[in-house]
Amino acid sequence: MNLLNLVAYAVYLIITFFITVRVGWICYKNGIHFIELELEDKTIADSVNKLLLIGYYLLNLGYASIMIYSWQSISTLSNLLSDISTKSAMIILSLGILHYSNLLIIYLARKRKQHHSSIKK
Amino acid sequence: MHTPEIIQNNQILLIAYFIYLPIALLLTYYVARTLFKNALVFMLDIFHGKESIASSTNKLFEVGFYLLNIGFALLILRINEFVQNYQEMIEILSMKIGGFSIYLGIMLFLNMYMFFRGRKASKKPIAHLSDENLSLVNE
Repeated sequence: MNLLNLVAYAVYLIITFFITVRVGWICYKNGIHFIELELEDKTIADSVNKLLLIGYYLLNLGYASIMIYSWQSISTLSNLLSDISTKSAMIILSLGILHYSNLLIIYLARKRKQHHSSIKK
Repeated sequence: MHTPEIIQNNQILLIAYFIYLPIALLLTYYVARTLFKNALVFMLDIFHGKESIASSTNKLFEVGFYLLNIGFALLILRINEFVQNYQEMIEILSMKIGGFSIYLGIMLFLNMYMFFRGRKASKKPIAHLSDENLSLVNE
């Protein structure tokens, strides 16, 4: 058993947990307007939003805990710091890339919808 | 047998990390705050003054900006070179922090470019666009 590794796991899990939950909550609060634009039925939009939030939590917390499996053993304090930051950086970066691709999907969906409605006229 | 010049000096490394972390995080925070305080005007323009969706979009872009840049800042934290004295530490740190701030500047201009493009697209009347699409479909 390596004490530094345990410390690293604890700090890493706390950081990723807080970031994941906080980002999810912000997206949940602000994303509802876009889903309402898309679906136009308020109750369905609400439930879709909730399901999306839960899916997001499962995906990201699962990914965060899988990362622990491939962690090398830590011998020094500077190693501890750099390992924690590299591993959390991978989680945060993948969150960011997912987030921007979601924004792109929303943008493309709206563009297609505008296109269809203009054809119907 | 350890020769002193190839042993990584862990204490200096730790100091370097503790200098780098606050600088990178504060830089990101300052840039993001300035950018998105001023972006709200653009968003209101893009969404034709609809307050709720404009501030939502602004918030979502802000979250994305933080995630990408803090993620990148933490990713490049690790120092792989052997550091033996403070002179080398400062040289490596200045390379890292300088590179990161150039990256931040590029991201800032990329975001500004997106805002300007969005504003230009929203200024275009939709009727004109749909005429174009209709002619494309008829062909």
